[in-house]
Order: sequence, then C-alpha cells, then structure tokens
Amino acid sequence: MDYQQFLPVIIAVIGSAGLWGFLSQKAKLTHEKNMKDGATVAQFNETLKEQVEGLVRKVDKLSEDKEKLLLEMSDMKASLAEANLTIKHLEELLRAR
Amino acid sequence: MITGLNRAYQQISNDNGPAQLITYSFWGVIVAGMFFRVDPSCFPDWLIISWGAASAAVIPITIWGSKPLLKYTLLLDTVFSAYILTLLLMHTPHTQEFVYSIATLEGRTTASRGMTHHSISEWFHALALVWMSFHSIYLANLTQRQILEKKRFS
Repeated sequence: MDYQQFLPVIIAVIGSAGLWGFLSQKAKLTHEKNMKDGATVAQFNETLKEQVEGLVRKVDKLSEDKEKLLLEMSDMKASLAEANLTIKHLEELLRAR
Repeated sequence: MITGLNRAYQQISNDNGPAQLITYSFWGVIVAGMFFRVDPSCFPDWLIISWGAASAAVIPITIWGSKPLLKYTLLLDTVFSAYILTLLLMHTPHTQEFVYSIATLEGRTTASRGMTHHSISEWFHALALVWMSFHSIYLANLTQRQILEKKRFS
C-alpha cells in the first residue's frame, strides 16, 4: 500500500484533532475557572432559563416559609397578649388582697 | 463600533438553540449533493453518502438525541469535510481536469493537458469545504460548552 494514499485522511484527522484539542482545552479551562470563581452568570439562554426556573422555585419556597413564620408569629403574639392579660389580672388580684 | 463588534462576537460565540444546527444540517446535505459524482476517482460514492448522512443525522439528534451524541456527530462531520477538502486539493489529476486516453507504442495510456492550477470553481468548492469544517467544529465546541455549563449549574 502506498502511504500517499492515506496522506489525505491522515492530514484530515490530525488537523481536525489538533483544532478540536485546542478548542476543547480552552472550553475546559474556562469551565474550571468559572467553577473555581463560583461564577453565576450564564452564557447560554438555555442555562439561563434553568437558572431562572431554579430561582423561581427558591422564591416560592421562601414565600411559603415567610407565610408560615408570619402565622407562627401572630399565634405567638396572641399567646403573649393572653399571658400579659393573665399577669395583669393576677397583679390586680394581688393588689386587691 | 468596537462595542457593537464585541457584542456581535459574544452573541455568536454564545448562541444556542436548534436553528443554526438545523440550517447546518441542510447545508451539509446540499454541499454533499454538490460533490456527488463530481469525480468518482477522487470522491468515492460511499464517502459522499456517508458525509451527507452524517450531516442529515444532525437534525434528528438535535431534536431527540443527547448533547454528547450531537457533539460526536458534528466532530465526525468535521473529519469528513476535512478529508474531502484534502482529497480535493491533493488529488492528481485535478478534479475538473480533462484526461485523455491515448494509444502509444507502449499501449494505451492517459494524458492530461498539463493543467497546473486549480480552477476558480475548484477553489470555491474548497472554500465550501473549509466553511463546513469550521462551522461543524464551532458547533461541536458550542455543544461542549453547553454541556459544561449545564454541569456547572446542576
């Protein structure tokens, strides 16, 4: 077999592999840098959409938690008011004695 | 002007969505068809059909396939385009060169007009292949960056 017969395929594979290696390495380095820096900016609309969906879920959960806390706080306020009233009543009873 | 150029560069390098992958796939099939039987001694039918099939496969893979599969299909397409480009540039006689069969004292042999340069049409065919190679590798790189970014946010 004449080696010249394989020369075009060798050139094509080596050329493509070289260019791909460079681009792939560059993408990996950027990815690693972003991971290390904790970058939160999305490059693509697709990931941005996913990020927004994730944030919406977080906001929903936070609103739900806030509502629960507000309800618990109002219950506690009511209990406190009730306790204050009892204390005042007891104080008045003591003074009356 | 610089800001506009920079914005355009950012938009191109971070563009996503299936539109350009589908356009690329159509052009891949069209360009493969343009090379079909142009010179069977230079480009065997199986090679052109495989190249066209690899380009055509980009559409269903974009819609239903996974990102890594799409990346490897695009890389395969890059190798096909680059291989056909090197064949076009290195093949002797040139693809559009007229070759004559002549009878000599030693028997029947072939002769050409001694065309030493590639024709303008050939250069544009080569340019189409250069474009297809760079476009497919750019799309493969874009897909790889999307995969990596998805990992970063998951």
